[in-house]
Amino acid sequence: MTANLGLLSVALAYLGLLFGIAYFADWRRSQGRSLINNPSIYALSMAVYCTGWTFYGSVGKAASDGFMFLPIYLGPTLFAFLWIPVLRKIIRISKRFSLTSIADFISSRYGKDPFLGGIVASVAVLGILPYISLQLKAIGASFQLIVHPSMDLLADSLPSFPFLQDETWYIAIILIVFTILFGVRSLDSTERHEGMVAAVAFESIIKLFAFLLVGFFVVYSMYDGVGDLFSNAGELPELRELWHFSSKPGAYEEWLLLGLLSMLAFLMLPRQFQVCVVENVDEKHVNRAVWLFPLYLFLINIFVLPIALAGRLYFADTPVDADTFVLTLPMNAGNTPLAWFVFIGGLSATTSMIVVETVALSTMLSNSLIMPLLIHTGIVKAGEITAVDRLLLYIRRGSVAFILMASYLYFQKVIGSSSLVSIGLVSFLAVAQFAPALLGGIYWKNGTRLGALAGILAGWCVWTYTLPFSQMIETGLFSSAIMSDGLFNISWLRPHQLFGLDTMTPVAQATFWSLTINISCYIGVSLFTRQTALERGQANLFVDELRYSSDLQRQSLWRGTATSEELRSLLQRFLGAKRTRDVFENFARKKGLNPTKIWQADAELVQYTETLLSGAIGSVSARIMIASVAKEEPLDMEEVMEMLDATQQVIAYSQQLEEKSTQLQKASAELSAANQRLKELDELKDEFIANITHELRTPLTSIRAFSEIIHNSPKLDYEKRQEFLGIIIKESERLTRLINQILDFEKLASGRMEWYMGDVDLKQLLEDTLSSMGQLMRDQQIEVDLSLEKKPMIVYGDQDRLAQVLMNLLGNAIKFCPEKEGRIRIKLKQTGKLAELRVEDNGIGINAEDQAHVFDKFRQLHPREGKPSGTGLGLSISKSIIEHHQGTIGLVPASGSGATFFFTLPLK
Amino acid sequence: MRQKLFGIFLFGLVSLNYPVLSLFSKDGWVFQIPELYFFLYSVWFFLIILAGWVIEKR
Repeated sequence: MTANLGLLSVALAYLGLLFGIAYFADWRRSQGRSLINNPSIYALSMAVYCTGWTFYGSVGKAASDGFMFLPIYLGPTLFAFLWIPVLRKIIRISKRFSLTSIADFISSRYGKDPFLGGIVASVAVLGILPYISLQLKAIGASFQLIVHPSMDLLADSLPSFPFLQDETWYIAIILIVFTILFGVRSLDSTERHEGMVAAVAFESIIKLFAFLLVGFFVVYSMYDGVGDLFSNAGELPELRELWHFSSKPGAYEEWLLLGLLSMLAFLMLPRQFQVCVVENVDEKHVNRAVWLFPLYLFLINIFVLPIALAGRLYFADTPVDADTFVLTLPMNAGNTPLAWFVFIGGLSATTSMIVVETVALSTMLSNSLIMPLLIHTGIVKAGEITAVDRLLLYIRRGSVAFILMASYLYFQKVIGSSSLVSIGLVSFLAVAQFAPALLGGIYWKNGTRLGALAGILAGWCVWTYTLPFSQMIETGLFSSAIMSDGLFNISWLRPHQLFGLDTMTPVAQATFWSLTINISCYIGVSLFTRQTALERGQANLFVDELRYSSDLQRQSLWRGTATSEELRSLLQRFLGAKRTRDVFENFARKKGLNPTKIWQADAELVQYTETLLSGAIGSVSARIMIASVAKEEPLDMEEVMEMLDATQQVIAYSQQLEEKSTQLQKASAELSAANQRLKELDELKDEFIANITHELRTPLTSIRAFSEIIHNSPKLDYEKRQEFLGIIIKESERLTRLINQILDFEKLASGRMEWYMGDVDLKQLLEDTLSSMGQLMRDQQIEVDLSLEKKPMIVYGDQDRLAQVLMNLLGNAIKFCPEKEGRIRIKLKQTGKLAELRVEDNGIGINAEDQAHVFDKFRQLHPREGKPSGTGLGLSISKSIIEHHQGTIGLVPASGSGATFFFTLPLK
Repeated sequence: MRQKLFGIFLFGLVSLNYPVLSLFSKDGWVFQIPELYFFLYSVWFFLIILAGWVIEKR
């Protein structure tokens, strides 16, 4: 009796601690410093997935079927890697439309259909009851084991003890109070319970810690490490079997199907939907959970097989229920503190599941089943003024009590001695029936209401027949002949060998048949039925949730008239006076309206009110309520499509506009650049013409002057005449040269130059050029200092053009050399893969400001006499030629007197 | 990132199912741990590390 009281007070103290955490989190939220606004806490709250099933049941499953407990965790692990597209999309949709349960989500997607929502809510409640019973059984049994240690040997038949009945009954009562205090204290239009989530995250840490502690205790205290445990177990063939894949027929199929089942069921479980979607603070938190949640599953499963093996070894001759090994091993090894801590861990696993699941189910029951029924039967009248918020709260609390009581009854009457895992799987398969309608609904626009209804109902019938019905047969509620001969003696209707499929376990074949039939009905019926206007609209909004931004969406899908006062009094009935006033004042301020006046409501206000209402009473009821005050005009399909199209067009149009404007900006930038360039070119052209005419005029003037002298002075003596004629010839040559250069330059600039490319030996070319210019140099008494490489320097190029460059550089050097003492150094050498030529003179050099411009067109440098004698195009042409050969040309920065030009060309 | 995670998903789907699993369902030991046990948990852990790396490196 003392142990009884002691354990009870420890358990109650722990529950008190959880309340403390919850209150703290709620207080933090009211301060605006949310405790759960954190991706890691989000991931931890998801671990509400690990219930009494994981904590006690996995070991039990492993003790008989080896690794077959594992697909239940591998499925969600793999599914987690797809959360970023899938889960985030569901979260976005739910937040936009204030959807707070799976039933609400599905009915809203298929045209806010009350019947569909009611069906989903009923299937969910019926399907989850066994799962909650499982938790009750786990708490009851663990409590019983610690309080009456002598009973442990008879753990198998525990549920039938009369005093146990009483204790589990009290536990159920305590849990009802606990759940109501936690989750249904007050109404909130967003259905978020930060306190509950914080407590669940805390419990997740405790249960993981407790389980790991048992693992370490078993492996390192009872045995000498993992190796020791495995080698001990390896001596028994029946234990060795456990770490092989089961040799039973259909084991691999079962593995795959269980993985698939848990993958589909994961989000469809009401409690997972609650923590993953409804309680989500920030969509981005999902990213962290993608790896952190699987890591949690990994850790909590790592010791399952070792504990199962140790249990089988320890209780080899005593019939102890393997589902209790986690508790009985430390107890029998004499470690009572650890056993108590394990009890707390199990309590964490079970209570967190019960609280969240019951809260989620009560929302579903009240919003998708009871409220629509009350409205439909006229008990809650749409047009009345009476407040409904208290009523709503009592419905929620009543639902919690109902669900837990029903679970208790199921535990008493049906479960019997079934193992924890087998009970849990029944529930998994029930909720997995929502997966085709929900996942199909967010990716496939043509899924119809009737398709969803057909799929869910057909899948549910198969589920009922193959699993709970056969369980009831086993407990004696129906004739056992059905199991062996089939319903009405039709052999292919045997519940565990449906359609004659006898190679799979009952759960595996139920999974296969129910989901196959469900998906076929969903797709098949959808393809052969038509959507209503509203359905079509909702389908578009759900599938393309990113395309309709929330502001634009508010204007669509509604047309009617209502006053702000009507909407206000409607909202007041469900949210209470204070919240309604706050909401309306906020709205009015945002729109710049006077909140004390009555104004004609626009589509946005109606939509806003409906969203708020659907948070409180579900989308279906909210729609009926709004329709009652808002004198809505029904829309037909064409209008809905038009509205959606219009929204889409506006968005598409604005996107196009944006695109156009960036294009325009680019074009105008290009235009102004081109304009700038044109201007420069124009200036250059003017300059060019001015220069050319100037250059051409100089020789022309002298030719004309001397011709006139000769013409007008017939008596001019012979020598003078010869001299003048010589000048005329020289000037004509200069004119010819000038014109040739101008033609060359024009060709180079316009790209019409013809190139005759071939192998050119630079050394040979240099020698040839020097010899052709030798006379000129000798005339001016210029000393030439030549240094060459010994081998030929072959480059790929146009021989004549390169010769032109050499002549230009040498000519310049000669021109600038001082008379009599002129000296030119020419150096041709190989540097790396380049041929480099330098021409250095000892002339006047080029002053600093001219250096940067020597290669510009018409840049004349003044040779010694101060009179330019070239076109100013020579170096510019040379530069173009060298660059055409992928070479560089330049001026070596002034070093002493004279100027040094160089060019490089790639060697062949 | 989505594509990488989808790749991890496919890799996990194939490596944690028949027939790959049947290769390890035998009397072998790795670090005193049965082969299948070692394989299942190391692949599992590897998938998680990979996903964590893909998500958190940015």
